[in-house]
Amino acid sequence: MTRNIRLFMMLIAALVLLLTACTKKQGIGPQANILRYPLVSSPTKIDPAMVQDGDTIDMLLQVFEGLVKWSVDNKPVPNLAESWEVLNGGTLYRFKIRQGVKFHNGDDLTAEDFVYSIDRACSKALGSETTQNYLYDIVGARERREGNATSVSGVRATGKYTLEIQIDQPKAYFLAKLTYPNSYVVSHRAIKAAGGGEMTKVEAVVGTGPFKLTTYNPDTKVILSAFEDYHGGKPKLQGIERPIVKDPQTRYDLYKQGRVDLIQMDKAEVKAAEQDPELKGQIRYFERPGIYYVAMNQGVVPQFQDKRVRQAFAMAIDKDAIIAAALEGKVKRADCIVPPGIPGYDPTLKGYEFKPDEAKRLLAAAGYPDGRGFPKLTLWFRESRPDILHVGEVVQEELKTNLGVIVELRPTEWGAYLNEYNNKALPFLHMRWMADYLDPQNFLSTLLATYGGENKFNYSSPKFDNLCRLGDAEQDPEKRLKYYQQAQRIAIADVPWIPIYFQRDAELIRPYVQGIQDCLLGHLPHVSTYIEGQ
Amino acid sequence: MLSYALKRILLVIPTLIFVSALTFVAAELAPGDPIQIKLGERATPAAVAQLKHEYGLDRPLLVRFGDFLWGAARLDFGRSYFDTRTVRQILLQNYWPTAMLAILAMLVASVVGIFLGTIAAVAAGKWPDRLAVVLSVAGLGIPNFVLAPILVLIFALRLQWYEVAGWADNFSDLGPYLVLPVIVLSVRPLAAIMRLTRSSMIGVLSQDFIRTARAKGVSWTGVVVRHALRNAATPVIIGIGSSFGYLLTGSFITETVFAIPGLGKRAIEAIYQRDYPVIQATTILFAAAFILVNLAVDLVQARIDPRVRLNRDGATG
Repeated sequence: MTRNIRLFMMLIAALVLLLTACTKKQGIGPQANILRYPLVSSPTKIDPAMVQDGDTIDMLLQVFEGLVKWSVDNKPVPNLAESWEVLNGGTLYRFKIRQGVKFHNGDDLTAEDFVYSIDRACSKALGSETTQNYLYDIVGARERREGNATSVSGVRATGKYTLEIQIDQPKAYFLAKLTYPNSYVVSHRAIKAAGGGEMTKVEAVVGTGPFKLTTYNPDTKVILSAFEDYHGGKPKLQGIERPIVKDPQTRYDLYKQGRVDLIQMDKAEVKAAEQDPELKGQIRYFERPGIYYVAMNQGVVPQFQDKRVRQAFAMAIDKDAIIAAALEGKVKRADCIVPPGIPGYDPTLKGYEFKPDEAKRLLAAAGYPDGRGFPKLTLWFRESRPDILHVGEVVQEELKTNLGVIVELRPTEWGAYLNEYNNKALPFLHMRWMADYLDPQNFLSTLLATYGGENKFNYSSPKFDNLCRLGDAEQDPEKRLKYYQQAQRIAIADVPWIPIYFQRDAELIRPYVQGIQDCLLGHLPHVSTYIEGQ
Repeated sequence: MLSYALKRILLVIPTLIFVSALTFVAAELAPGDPIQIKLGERATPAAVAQLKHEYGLDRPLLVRFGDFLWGAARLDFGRSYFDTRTVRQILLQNYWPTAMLAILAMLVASVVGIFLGTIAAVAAGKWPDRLAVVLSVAGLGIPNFVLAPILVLIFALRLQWYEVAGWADNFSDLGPYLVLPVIVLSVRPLAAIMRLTRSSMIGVLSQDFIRTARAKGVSWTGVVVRHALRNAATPVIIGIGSSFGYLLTGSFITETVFAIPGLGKRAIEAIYQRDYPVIQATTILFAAAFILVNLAVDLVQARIDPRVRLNRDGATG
């Protein structure tokens, strides 16, 4: 009888003991040269040839490198290729590979490693989804990817440190595409030792980058440690820790607690940080090469073929009303298509300004006075994104008030949305485009040319297409820019879609984190980053 | 007893097949396409068709279902569409944080719940009892996603006693990560167990044999612990069992908020990604856990209270 009571009391005591014994405070505040910043999701891949999402790319950029890299002024500059020549009127690239570069396993880098890596990325057996987008310009890449060739005929090593890549036609943006991890150099020996195929084990993850992957736990964290023999000099940081934290509020709390040094924030956290006297000064805003737009599909809604209707829509929507609520009003209103920082950004363009009376007049001239007779529209957009929903609500409200046009909102699950989007079946849609590489071609030709892969709204202007084609092939940067600027002016006047705002990201960074370098696409590899006072 | 247990265990199989079928049909009817999500906005229709073929998603529903059942029978749930691991590897790596949290929370809830419930019953109508009732109503009423941030704010950010979130690889380092999620998870079952203990005890304490025992000279604590608690145990054990089922399967929110690499969080991610193999496998596992816990409760109950066994045996022939 008393045994029972004693057991009970012991259990209670154990609980109390557990609660007190479990307090432990290590790792609060700056750590000796370790940079800690959360991954917002589990790494989707650890293979540079396979990776697609920005968060994982940021992690792999520390480990793997390519022929070229982005500079702080957003240009492709030498990395593992120390120089190159462009021959045969722009179709042949001859790269001189940097000598004395070592892989993490001690092997020397040669041109053959690139031949292997690019061939692997193109092979049908690996089945990379990014090859088509980034490497199909290379002669023979498509045949290799589709299983009709045993190697990529356009890539060869003509010397131990000389690599030649042949592309199908002059494309001035080709170098920019090589900044993407898909073509990065990987270690044949390490991949073979790990069993070949896609890299899924840490042992296979061997690159030439400033950090080595030492721990990879897809559920909890990734740890990188400095590579002593890095060709750019040993990194100042000893290591990088990336705990995986999906909940934005939790990331924010971890930052407040001092467990992490840098976080990306969502809208709600930006609002909280702006009101926190301690954290307010640690918020950093970054321009990102992304644009949010609302497109009018001329193939699905015949009324959109009338330019006056499109102009009326553009003039009836008050972008500033949308921006006021997006990221606490910190985003930049978009009046052109190419974002700031990328050649071709044109601050002199004003687009169609908010003029509801003029809009009403134009719609009436098109045969729909006060919206009478205009079909009811459905605006499609990605679900569970408060910012995007907000754009939809403003568009709905303004078109109703200013034009008498009724819009139904259709927030759609992402996969289902993409299905319809890729079939060019969405009548009226909201979309965001984030650059793959920093080149005007990736916005103008890709999004709006008749031949552009992301023109899902049936806009077609021969004049625009022609200028884009000229720009795509032109090697002289100034001439090239002129073609694109003219093309952009045409697209803005034609209003196939309404640019709303350019993307801006908000991060919290502790003041003791120093030396971070950025380009528009994100933080550059942490070669010069260090923890002050440690 | 043994044949009864065997029969119950055999019934688990058709139940699980039924649950799988429901999941399959729901996945088929839900909007969204995992392949589109995987390939993203740059995908060409040809690439989508190709990958669908590689994953066998272009086959008829019944063929896929049959294939899944045959695999599941061999504990092979295929590959995740998004993760580089097989589904079995994912389950093996993710189940134990969930199980550990559930067991710890259950332990806390049972010990504290029974203790407080007994005190409340003994002091029925007096202030400890009223306080206990108020607390249990609050405990049952407050949602996890409200309680968790409050506890984090007080104990992790202000007092800096425990971790905000995360998980340790070594068992010995886990303590600071466990306390808050265990408290959050245990509050609801604790309140439920406390209420059950209290009402059950009050009923027993008013019975004649308690007065007899007292009259025989047994001490008050002796009466409460040996006679009353044992007789009041049945409903409490049922309560503990169903709470345990809830904990094993209901830690989705808690795991997400505390960044715990458990199955609940993994299941939620899989649902967002339309990662069907993971959704199906976790559903089956959750269903199996729930069924087995309930079975265990029934068996324990039968062991404690002979009347239960007799009735059940009679009923099931």
